[in-house]
Amino acid sequence: MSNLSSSVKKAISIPYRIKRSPTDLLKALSNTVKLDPNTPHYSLIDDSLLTSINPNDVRRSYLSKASGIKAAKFMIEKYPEAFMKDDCVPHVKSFFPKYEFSEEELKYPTENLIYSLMSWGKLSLAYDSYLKCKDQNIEVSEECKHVLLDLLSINNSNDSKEKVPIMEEWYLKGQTRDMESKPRYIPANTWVKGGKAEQMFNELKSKSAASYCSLIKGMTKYNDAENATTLYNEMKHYNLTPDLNTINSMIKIISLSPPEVTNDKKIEIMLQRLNEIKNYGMLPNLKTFNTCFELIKSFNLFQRSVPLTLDLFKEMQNLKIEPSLSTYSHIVSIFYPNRDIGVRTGVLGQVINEIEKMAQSENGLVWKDVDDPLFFKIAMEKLSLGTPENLPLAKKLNGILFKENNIKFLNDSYLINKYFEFYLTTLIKFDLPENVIDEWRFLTPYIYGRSIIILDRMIDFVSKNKCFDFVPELWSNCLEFKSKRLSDFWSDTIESLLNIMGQYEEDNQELISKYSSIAEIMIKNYPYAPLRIETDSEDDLQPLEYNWNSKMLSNLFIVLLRGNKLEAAWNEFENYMKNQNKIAGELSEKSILNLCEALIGANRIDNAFEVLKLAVSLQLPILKGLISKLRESNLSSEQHTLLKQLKNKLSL
Amino acid sequence: MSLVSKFSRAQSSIFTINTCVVNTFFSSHLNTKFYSTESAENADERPAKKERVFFREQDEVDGFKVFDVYMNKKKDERSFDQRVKRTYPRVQRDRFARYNRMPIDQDWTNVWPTASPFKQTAVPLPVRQGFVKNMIENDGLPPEKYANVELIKIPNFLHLTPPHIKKQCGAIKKFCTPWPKELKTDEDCEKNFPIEITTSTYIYDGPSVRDDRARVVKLQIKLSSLNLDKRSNDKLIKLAEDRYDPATDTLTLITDRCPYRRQNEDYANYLLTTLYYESKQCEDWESEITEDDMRTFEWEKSKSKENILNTIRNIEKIEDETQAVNLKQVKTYQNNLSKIFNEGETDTNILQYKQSVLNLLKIKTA
Repeated sequence: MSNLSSSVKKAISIPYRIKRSPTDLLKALSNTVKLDPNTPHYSLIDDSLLTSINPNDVRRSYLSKASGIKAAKFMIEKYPEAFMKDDCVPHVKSFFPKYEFSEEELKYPTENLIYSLMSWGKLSLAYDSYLKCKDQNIEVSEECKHVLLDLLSINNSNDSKEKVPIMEEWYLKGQTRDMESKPRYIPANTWVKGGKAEQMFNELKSKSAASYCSLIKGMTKYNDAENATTLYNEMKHYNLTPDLNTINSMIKIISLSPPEVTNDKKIEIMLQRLNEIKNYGMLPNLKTFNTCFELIKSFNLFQRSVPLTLDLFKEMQNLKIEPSLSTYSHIVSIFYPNRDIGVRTGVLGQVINEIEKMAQSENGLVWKDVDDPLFFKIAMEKLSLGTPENLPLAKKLNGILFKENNIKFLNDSYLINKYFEFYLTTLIKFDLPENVIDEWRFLTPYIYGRSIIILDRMIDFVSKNKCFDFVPELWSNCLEFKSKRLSDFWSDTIESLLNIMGQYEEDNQELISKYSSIAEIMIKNYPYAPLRIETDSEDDLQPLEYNWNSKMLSNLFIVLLRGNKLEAAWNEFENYMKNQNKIAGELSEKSILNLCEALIGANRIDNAFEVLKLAVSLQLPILKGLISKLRESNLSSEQHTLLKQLKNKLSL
Repeated sequence: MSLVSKFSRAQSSIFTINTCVVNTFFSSHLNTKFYSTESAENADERPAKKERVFFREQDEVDGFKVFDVYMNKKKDERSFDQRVKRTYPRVQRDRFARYNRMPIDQDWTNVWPTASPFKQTAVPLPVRQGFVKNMIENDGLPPEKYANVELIKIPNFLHLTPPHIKKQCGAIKKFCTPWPKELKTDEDCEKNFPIEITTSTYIYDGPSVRDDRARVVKLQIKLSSLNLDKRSNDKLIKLAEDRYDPATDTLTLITDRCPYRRQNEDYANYLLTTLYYESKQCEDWESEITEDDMRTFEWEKSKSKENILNTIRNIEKIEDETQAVNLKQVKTYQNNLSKIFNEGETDTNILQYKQSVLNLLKIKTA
């Protein structure tokens, strides 16, 4: 229509639009959002009092959400007719009830029926229908049989598993990862022997290389090394060529060989497999090398590990295969098999430099292997075991993790907890208090929920370095943990915190009053002699007894008296006199002196005499000073005579 | 507690429970029995249900009493000042809120990355919103942000601050092409691309990505850019009816009869093409146009011209038509009369018209 206008003079050059995928814009925009350490995860945001802070609450909240999703799914499956209305464009299969095949439909098996059963994940029924087809002489194509074999092998002769809600998976994956990371963990053989997959394999008229490969990969997935090796040899016997992934999985299961197979023998088998790749005219890929490294890692302490790793790494460079994060994680594990070995090699420094280069490249860190997320945890673990020289390396590694969106590599509960535990441990070991506290404030509680181990270490650290300002904050961090029933933890915590507070001698009134109120809360909420309410039922939760000793009590008196809380201190002293048998040891001189002086100052002479009685029974050297102080105050005649008698006794 | 005493306690408790159960059972049973015998004798003594007390007569409509919930509420006859003031505790600072821990040099775009309802814990500003009746309520101040529903109701633009826009524009800049150099001003754009097509895309959180309203297409064009002659222009305007806006000289076509946007866009283009060619075509009956059919008043073709020329002939004694028309007083009369017909009867128009008539008739006013 523009040519209608008469005044077109110049041709206008409109540039071509830049091609982009439907999600490119969203990706670019999402890259602008960086991590905010002050914000809880979006699914936890609530009123400030209700936002979950400690890891137990977070876990409970996530898992209850997941169970809600499961309950909803259950209802959908139970009353499918109520959920049939389809407003979704495009259709989302997982929002709708599963299709239930009626008996009528299953009565007349066809190839189409087998395909539709497979698409709904009902593999057992699909296999049964196949058998019915065979009985009724209905033809089923070889292709259909292959697909069925493939699915049965992947799912270990079972129906395909339902997906777990993403929140539950986070913890579930963490649990398995925790189990796998334990030393001497041997994965169990879970392959169903003589199951439907193997039966299906026997049904095939001509057994092609692909069908062999499917079954072998299924067996290796479920750790059946013995059968997989037999089948692999059979395959070679018939001159069939396996694919690269099958050979990779064959390398993976070498580590599952029986204990009598030596490491040398294992290496021999590995080299044999690599040679096979060469003989079949294929080129190894990243996964091949990663599985080789993983195998070498499993040898733990072995002489040939390191030279072999270096050779393989060189070979990798010759083939111009870019190593992934998991390659480096395996290399680090090989070079640092335990606490003592590997510290001097400096391999970690080199590896972290390489990773930094990768992170600074145009694409950043890319996910290439399933085991990639392990790198950060393993590297930080090894750094935390080393020397103070590792501190800058640890900071560098942490910098890489927080760059762009790299924190996605810590993709389950176990990895994220362990990584930050090791990182904070490294800092606590080697860094200055102010840096540690800054990092503590940055990371906890939203990026990393404080675990009890790290809280314990932090308390130790604070008490060693005498970070007086940080004590109130640390105390509130402890309270946020909401674990009143851990009596050992609380007894230790209270002891060390009281110890630091007792040592404070400066004159910051705000801090002193904070300390005294903390001490008050401590003795009130975590008592050594709780008041027991006698009830008829035995099931009622009885109040816990926390372990206090005389040193803790002495510190408590000192802190309370510095904060001018004489009444609280006196009540506690009376309580102590009643429950002396529960407290091991004796009160310190300083605490008794302080208490007595404070009582005299408040003109509570009767109470001061009680304290004096304790001092006499303990035969403290400060007794003389106390008596002379008491004599200066207003005393009754009885008290005078008492004091005189005491003085005489002492002089004797 | 010793074992023996514990045992005896347990025994006694069981016993007491048992006796208790027996007692209550008996009492309840007996009570009902007594009650039933009594009630059979004089049923009228049963406590009657309290009747509603109304403070004024209920309205009756068609014989039915109208139930008014507020009628049995006692009217508060005290004046507003005498009423007891409800007091709410003043909200202190939310100790657990996030804004207490925010560093002053934080990047706001990370705190509030996307559009979301107002969260008092995340906003470190002392904002207030809401209605207060007078100075007595809340010290005459609008309520604070804590637990303030008013702030959640209104849309906020905390996700669209200048740093946000700068950051996001920077991120999507790589997908943008440079603006054509030839199109420097708005006029250039209008000249070269006279047609303006407006469509809307709807995105929201729901099961479907489709929205019916997305199919609507609005096409706008300035009639002047079509370069039509006067007759065709008039015809097009008549055909377009209310789709033409004389104030801006714009023709607006809105199409929504087809299910898809592209189809509607094609249909809008088709409509414009048809309108254009239809108005260019001159039918035979168009010559029969009368004064009533015209869109605007045209003095040249009106009866008024004839009458005025007659009058001029009598007053000025000028026979020649063109000479008479070119007279100054005739021209002003023509203009002012057209104004009244085309623009409407406003005070100024009427006054000007009056003046021109007086001039024309050579009547002098005091």
